[in-house]
Amino acid sequence: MDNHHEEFGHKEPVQATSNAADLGSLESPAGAGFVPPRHWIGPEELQESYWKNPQVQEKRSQEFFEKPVEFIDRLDRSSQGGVARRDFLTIMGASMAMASFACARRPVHKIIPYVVKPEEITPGVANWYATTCQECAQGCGVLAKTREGRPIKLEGNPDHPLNQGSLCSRGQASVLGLYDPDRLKAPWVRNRADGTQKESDWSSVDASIQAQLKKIAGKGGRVKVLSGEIQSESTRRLIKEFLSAFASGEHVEFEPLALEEISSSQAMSYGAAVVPRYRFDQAKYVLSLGSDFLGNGVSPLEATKLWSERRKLAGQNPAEAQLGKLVCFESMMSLTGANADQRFPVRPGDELKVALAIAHELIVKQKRSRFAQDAAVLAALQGYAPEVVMQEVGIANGVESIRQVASELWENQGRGIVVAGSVQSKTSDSMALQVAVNLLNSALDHEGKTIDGSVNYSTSRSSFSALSRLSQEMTAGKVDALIVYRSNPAYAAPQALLGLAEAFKRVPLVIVVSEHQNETSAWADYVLPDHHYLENWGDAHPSQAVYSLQQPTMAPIHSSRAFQDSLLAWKKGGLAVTGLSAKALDWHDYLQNHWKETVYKEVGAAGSFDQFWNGALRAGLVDVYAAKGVSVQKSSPRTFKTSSLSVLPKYSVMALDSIYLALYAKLSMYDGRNANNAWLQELPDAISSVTWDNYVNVGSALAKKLDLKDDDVVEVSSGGRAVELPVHVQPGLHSQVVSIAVGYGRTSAGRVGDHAGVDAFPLTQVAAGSQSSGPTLVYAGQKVQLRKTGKFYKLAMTQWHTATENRPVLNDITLAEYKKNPAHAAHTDPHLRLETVPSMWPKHEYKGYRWGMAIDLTSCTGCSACMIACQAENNVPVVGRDQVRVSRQMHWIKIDRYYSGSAENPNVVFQPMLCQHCENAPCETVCPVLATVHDDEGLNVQVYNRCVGTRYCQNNCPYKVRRFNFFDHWKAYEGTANLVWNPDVTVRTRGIMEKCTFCLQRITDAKDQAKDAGDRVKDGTLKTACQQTCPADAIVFGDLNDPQSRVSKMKTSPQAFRVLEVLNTLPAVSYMTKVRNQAESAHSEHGAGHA
Amino acid sequence: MVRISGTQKKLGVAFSLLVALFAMGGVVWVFPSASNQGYAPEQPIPFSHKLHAGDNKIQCLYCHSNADKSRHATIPSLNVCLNCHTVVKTDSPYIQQIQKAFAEGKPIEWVRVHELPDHAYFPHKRHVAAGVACEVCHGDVAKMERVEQKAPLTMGWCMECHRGQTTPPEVLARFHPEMKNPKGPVAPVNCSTCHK
Repeated sequence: MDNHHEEFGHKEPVQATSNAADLGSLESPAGAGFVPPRHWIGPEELQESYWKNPQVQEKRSQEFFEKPVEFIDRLDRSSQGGVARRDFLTIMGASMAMASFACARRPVHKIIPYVVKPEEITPGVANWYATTCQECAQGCGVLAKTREGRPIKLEGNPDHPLNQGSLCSRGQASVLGLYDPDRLKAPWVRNRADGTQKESDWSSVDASIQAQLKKIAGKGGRVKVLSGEIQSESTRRLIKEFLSAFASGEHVEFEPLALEEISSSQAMSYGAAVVPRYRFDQAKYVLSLGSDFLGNGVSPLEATKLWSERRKLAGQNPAEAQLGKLVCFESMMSLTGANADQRFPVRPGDELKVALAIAHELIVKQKRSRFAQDAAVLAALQGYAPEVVMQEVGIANGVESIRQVASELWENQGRGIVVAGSVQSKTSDSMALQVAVNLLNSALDHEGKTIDGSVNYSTSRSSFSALSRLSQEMTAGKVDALIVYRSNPAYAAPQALLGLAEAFKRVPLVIVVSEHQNETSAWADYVLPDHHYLENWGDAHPSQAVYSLQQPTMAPIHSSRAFQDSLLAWKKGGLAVTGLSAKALDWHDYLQNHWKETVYKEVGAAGSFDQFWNGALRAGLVDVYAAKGVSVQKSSPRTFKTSSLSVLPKYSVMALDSIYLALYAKLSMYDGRNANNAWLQELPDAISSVTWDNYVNVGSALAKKLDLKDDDVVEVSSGGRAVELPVHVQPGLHSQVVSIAVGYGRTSAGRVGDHAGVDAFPLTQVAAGSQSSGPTLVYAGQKVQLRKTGKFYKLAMTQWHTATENRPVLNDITLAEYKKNPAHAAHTDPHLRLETVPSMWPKHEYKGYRWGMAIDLTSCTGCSACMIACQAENNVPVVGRDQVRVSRQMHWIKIDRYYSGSAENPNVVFQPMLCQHCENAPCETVCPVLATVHDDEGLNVQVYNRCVGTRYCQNNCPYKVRRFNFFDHWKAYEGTANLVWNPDVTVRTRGIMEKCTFCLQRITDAKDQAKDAGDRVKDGTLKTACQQTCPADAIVFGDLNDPQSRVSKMKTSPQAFRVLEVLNTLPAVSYMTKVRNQAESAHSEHGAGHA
Repeated sequence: MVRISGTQKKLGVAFSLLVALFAMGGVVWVFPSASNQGYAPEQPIPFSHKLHAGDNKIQCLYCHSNADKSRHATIPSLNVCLNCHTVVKTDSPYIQQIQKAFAEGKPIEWVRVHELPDHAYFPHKRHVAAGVACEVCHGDVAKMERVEQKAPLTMGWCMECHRGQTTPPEVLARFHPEMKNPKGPVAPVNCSTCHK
């Protein structure tokens, strides 16, 4: 306790103590036996002496890592070799004096009205269009907010059954992709002989392509279309019809990170190749075997929505509180693992062994389920006894853990889910893992209850074996023309293994249709600009239950053309295409006719097609079941075919001295397609907090063994291929595992994405696979060698930035503790609540609204979508890698990640941290120019035009949420990127402090609408940008003056605490304590308390 | 060659700084509020508000049709002009200029008269809804041949009205009938009211 007060830098306030004593009810609800958790940021903190070291205290108490003046001096000298800062200031002084003469009158500005104003546009008022996100193949519904004809912000469509109003970080960031200044602006023609390329125009490109295609069609040639996974049935149909003009045509879909094994294993186990719908809202118990379903899974937004429904304690009676449980065995620290109540680090490939050990325990040992007498099952599980498996896997108390998980699964039969599959568990046995999981789900009666095989997602059509076959055909000279659409095999495929560079050379005509130049376009004859999805028509069929419609939200910025329109243009050159293509005028016409033939008929809508179409356009989707008036189908359990168990391998031991690799995909970068999106590059990884780069994750034990530290560059080699990457020491990894993110190290992505990080795709391997499946991609389980190079590379890691100097800023407790004494949840350390401390400042009065926020740490998954949503909404700039290195990132909301427990297997808690809008705001009292003040609705407002940049407020903010503009970062938004700014929010210049405003412009907008209706703002209608996009509904915003509002109710729940209450800042943001469904707390095991 | 010593250099710098200060003081003295009050630039077409709004009594909202819908009052698009001028006074060279611009699809570039800084977000809509007459801020446009900025449009001037000192009596009577000589705010005076 004393320690804290020393750290806090103020003496024990006499007043406060006596007050705390007066407030009897607030006094120590914790009582005896409750050890406050100890949270740590980096593993170095686990040494007892760490925080006692004066050097550490000095280092960690600095908000900025380098003194700004010296740093900029050095930057200036080193980068430009030109003017240093002091000289620069002198020059600036003179030019300011001169400029002030020039500014005596304001510059003349023009107002340019429309010639004919479009009826639907009112300048200053937003129009919303429903469309469908095409950033990945999931097909989430999106509402695009457009101002004066240009989209400025995307939000999830609340009526869309998949994402239900939420949107992930990539979806949020796609609006910046639309305005990417590096997009292709016109068609290019490449000369393959000398590699030169020149800009062309559509008519000459079309004429030339038409002639060549006609010739190929005439001689009975072979044409192939290679694309990424296409969600649009109409596009797929169009491609098929286009290819019908040729004697031999084939459409190959390949998505590098697709989880093909899910549908293939479903086919083996249940007969039909489907991707079942996981009903996480029905599941009390979820066992993930290497599946990152909350991060990069089958449908992460829907999964998070449903799963988080079981993670809400607000409104529950604490004594009978129910909380879902998530248990995770995984080879790297994924978002799902970080959210698990119980997590076991294993090696890639061990997931299968664990699955079979659990099945063995359940079926063979405990003789549970209908498979207990099944000879085929018993035979398959032979050899996977928990004792045997756990001896190898090396989990402490492994056998008991397996027994515990098996029993818990059995207790929750029919109310649980076992789920597997993600990039980091794609070993050569990934198919076997899926089959093992299917066996468990059928044995536990999850099948047909929590796992719905009838209302399934659209099956992935991605096929690696088709790509490898295509590559062989190309090499053999059997392909006359190749059209590549939304695919980049030269980067995101094991191109060296497939010999793609050589294969492309053998194809006489290669056309790449893409938004950008990319690695593959360097092999093309024609590089044609495609529309961004926000400029194009389209559709998606993400699951059986829903058709989603995509409409243009703006006219194309560049001379781009929809891929579909290109196909229709080329057929006009005399290709005998079939079906709708024959008479379609353009892509829009084609799409409408396709819908008229298919969706309109399937739904059986009452009105005319035009009515139906306009309705679908307005809604953005057609909910098939709702339109047909049938309730959501009850699915019936499918029968597990024990024959599928034949793919299970015989038990074999993995080498105990080798190091195994798990490649994975980050939420932000995914397969690297968005590498040129600066918002995503600067988004800190939820777990490691690193921006702009990838790295090798090495567990603490392995790092110690190999003498590796953060930022050491190592060479990771496997199968003759090697990459050099900096090390990030990641707590919670198995001692035989390293993991690396793919999607980095692009060489021709654009000005942002080029050479950010290192390409790890060369470390993928190809497994021969079975007869039926053909070769498959292997992302995990490769043996690798690590070699220290002696080089260093400073990762731009935000982990220690704006940290709170070991002050306890959050709490987490176990469900058992919460049930026993809910007051423990609100325990803050030191446990002092000083609400009645007299103040020298007059009390604020709130007569109308008083805005406040509550954030539920139990359901927050750390997905970071809120950070990008905030960035888009509030014009938050990007600063670049070097500036992040010195703690100058600008995000208004950040996701702080804290660990507790041991470095080998820590618990993780995420805390979204934003301006707390304190009642007694420390920033307000120190501003010499009153640039930060309180308003009469409880907001702590930052007035940019008053701010002179003293940064006193930033120094005095205990929450470290204020951001200073060291430079004119807006200048980095070059060319079309400028169009992304939200016109309702000031773009800040250099020298100005900024921070979260609680989305002031959205509050104003909501009040404006409420006033029009002669009403107050209704609870739930006003959402901040972070809240709106949150897939876990962890953020609640509203009026604290309304006792019935959700936020008021949450604030008074026993779970609620405010950060650093002892400082008496009285924040308007409350947090709901993280409650874990654990038997005993990690901190009581390791409970040293605070240092 | 005249050799300049270090001291002379310093004196020189000090002197030029002094001159600069005086000059800046002068600027402030000449333009005390940095306001554009009285600004009446020539427009590409000498549109007369006196003729339209004064003599012919066309309502402000007929042309500035978004003043009650949006933050921006908006300058009318050319098709609004042509609502009348396809038949009215088509022999005027200025009307012909408008018709030509319309036919070519080239908008007229009007010179902005009333301009607030980029960090001030003034909503026309709420002020119109509150019953603040256009003339309160824009002056008696109906008498202006060429539009002139009558009001200072400075923050202090905005605040006087929001604090009740210069609030139009009919607006005051509508929202605060109890107040006769208000001393406090009658409309929000938070920084966040206008600065986002």
